[in-house]
Amino acid sequence: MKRITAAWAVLGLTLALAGCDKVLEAFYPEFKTGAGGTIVLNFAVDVSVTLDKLVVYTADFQGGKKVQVRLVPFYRSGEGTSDYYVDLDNVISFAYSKSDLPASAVESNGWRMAFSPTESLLSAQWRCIAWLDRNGDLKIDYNEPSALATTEGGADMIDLRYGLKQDWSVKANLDPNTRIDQWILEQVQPGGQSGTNQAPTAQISDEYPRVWQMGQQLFLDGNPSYDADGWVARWKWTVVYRGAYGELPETDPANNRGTFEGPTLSFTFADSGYYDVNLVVWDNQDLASASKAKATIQITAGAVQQTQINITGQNQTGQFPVRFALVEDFTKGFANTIDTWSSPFNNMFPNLMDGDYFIVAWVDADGDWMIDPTEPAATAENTSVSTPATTTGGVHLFHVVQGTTLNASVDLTPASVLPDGLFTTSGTEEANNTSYSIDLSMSLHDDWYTGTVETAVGANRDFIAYFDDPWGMHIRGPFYGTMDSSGTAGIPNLTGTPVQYHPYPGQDQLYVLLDMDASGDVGTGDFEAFMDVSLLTTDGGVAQVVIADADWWKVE
Amino acid sequence: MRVSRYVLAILIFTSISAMAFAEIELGVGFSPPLQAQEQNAGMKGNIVEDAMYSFHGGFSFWWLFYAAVDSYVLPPYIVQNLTTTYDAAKGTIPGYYRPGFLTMIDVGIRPQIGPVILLLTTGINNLYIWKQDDIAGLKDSPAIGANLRAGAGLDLGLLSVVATGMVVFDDFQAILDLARTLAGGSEYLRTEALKGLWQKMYPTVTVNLHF
Repeated sequence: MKRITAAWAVLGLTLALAGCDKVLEAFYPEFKTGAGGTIVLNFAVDVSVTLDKLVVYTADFQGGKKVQVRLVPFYRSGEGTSDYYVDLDNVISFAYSKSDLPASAVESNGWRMAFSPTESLLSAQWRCIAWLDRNGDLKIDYNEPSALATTEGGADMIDLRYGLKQDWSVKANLDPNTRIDQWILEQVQPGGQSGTNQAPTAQISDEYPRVWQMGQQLFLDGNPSYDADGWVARWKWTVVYRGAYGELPETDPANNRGTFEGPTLSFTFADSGYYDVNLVVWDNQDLASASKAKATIQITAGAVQQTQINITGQNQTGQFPVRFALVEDFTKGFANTIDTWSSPFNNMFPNLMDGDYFIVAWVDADGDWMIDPTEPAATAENTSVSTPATTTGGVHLFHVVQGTTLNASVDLTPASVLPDGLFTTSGTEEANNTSYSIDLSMSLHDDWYTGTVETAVGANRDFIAYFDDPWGMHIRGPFYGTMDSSGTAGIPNLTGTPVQYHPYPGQDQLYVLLDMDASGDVGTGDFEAFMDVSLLTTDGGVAQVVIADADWWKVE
Repeated sequence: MRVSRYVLAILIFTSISAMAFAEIELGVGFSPPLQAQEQNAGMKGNIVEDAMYSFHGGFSFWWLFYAAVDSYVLPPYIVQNLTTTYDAAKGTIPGYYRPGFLTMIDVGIRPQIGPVILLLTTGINNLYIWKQDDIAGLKDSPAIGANLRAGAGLDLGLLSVVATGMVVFDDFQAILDLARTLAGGSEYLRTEALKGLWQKMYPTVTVNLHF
């Protein structure tokens, strides 16, 4: 009898699971099609030539539920026609749950966020539609709230042409428990709150091939350009030929291969060699960017020889994925990232010019592709990049010759990481262009540490020290300078009153050049630090650094 | 494929004897909402704002061995987090904002000493998304890694109450990596691994009816 009862129970459970959707709708009734209730989204839109920003304001909505509303450029092929197209490449997306917004955007009774529409969005032919996009696929699905008014596929239209002002009311049918009370788009005057127009910043997307084949069309994207208090209204590209070896001056007008307008550039290079592509942008008040963005590209006569990067190794940090970034200039953090990939370890075949590049490896515990304070140090202590062998700790400088293979091994076992308040790591003699990492402190706490460091450096050694501060906030210095001639004074420029110092605020690394003395004597110095240090010999010799004095303590 | 009569005999004997010394349990589970620590606010996988409920079916035999199926009713934001992906070229691709079932098919051990039940299982996970047949390009329920569960409970006769802690991993390799770290890693790594394990652990209390 018991077995029969059990069989019936299992059968009942099976039937219940067969109606998965119904069970889920019982738990989340707002997903029932045609559920009751009404959401009213009230927009007041003023999009005129004087508009600087659109500010979205909404009252709080209940619970942790998330409803997405998107404004999508919607244009028709010509006046008088009925053919409409949705441009999904220019989506203005807003309306998230409050927890997704920065604290500064959250107000007592709601939240607001601002965005800057591009000029093209505000051109006469554009329309916008809005709908509640529950699954984030940017499509109006039948099971999403039909909501929005009566026109154009269940979505209401809003006219964002210059000079027009209109109120917009959008209604959505949802369960009352998940309603959004009110939305308002407010007008902000030109110049933002400060009243002083700020220059825009020109930026080219880094995702372009550094080496390209002659005769093929190359695409560059200037859309990352931005204006803090307005929007980018004009883009101007200049293509300059720098010669077969990059020897021609950039300023010679004879080398100018053309100027072009528009947020993107498509260009076919006629000669092999090196080119500089410069971008200058103007904002909506016709103020030009203070500096130009530059993309340097090598054009080859034949097929591009790709550089192969083989990543092997093991991740002993448990369940966390390992991330890698190929960065052109890590002194600017991830701003110059060429490519990213993650474990499991694999091979990459990027188009790279001859030159120096960085590989950054770290453990990404929360999946946001950033190096965060709460994540394991992931300093990749034993990481090495061979052929040629030039390494640092979690950040690896390597030299690329086109068509070659780089073998990088990553062993994320931070063997030299020691508990808080104690470190005894010492280096050993290394061959030229090799390096090792020294952890001066623990990495998972927001405390300041202080202590004394003694160093011994091999004679006649020049080296670069990378102070890797993955969290961008803990470095105090100054740390840079030149060793004294005797060496007895130690590291003079590592002493002194600690000051807040970071050459690239908000970035991830302090790039330091230490020109050590000839004697390589032991020196001492007090400083406060919270970082990893890696040393890279550059003069063909060997370097030795010994960290003694294990007493570190928190600064109260 | 021909099956040896000996193998067949062993299978039949095993099945019969397993049923003869087996127990079936059906139950429902409750998982409390978790408040993420401030420093982990970005770790969305750990944030569970609402209480969750689950359906449980278990089969224990020969006193020690155990197989179980658990289906958790997931809120839409968790399904979205689980299905959000990152593409180097396109950036973050948001997942599906729909409720779903996270079904775990586990095997392991469940010894019982007196009224005390101990539990240690591992298995694979499967995600069913609400009306997933309507999602273009999503034909099957996506596999969502592997899980590791440990727990303890009390046998009250017809009923039992079991509390478990569950951690979802990317795959079995991640579980092996963790085990390797705990067994032979440095003190630092062990500490970090345990910390990560604790942060990712999700508690559930299940009330079971035994047959």
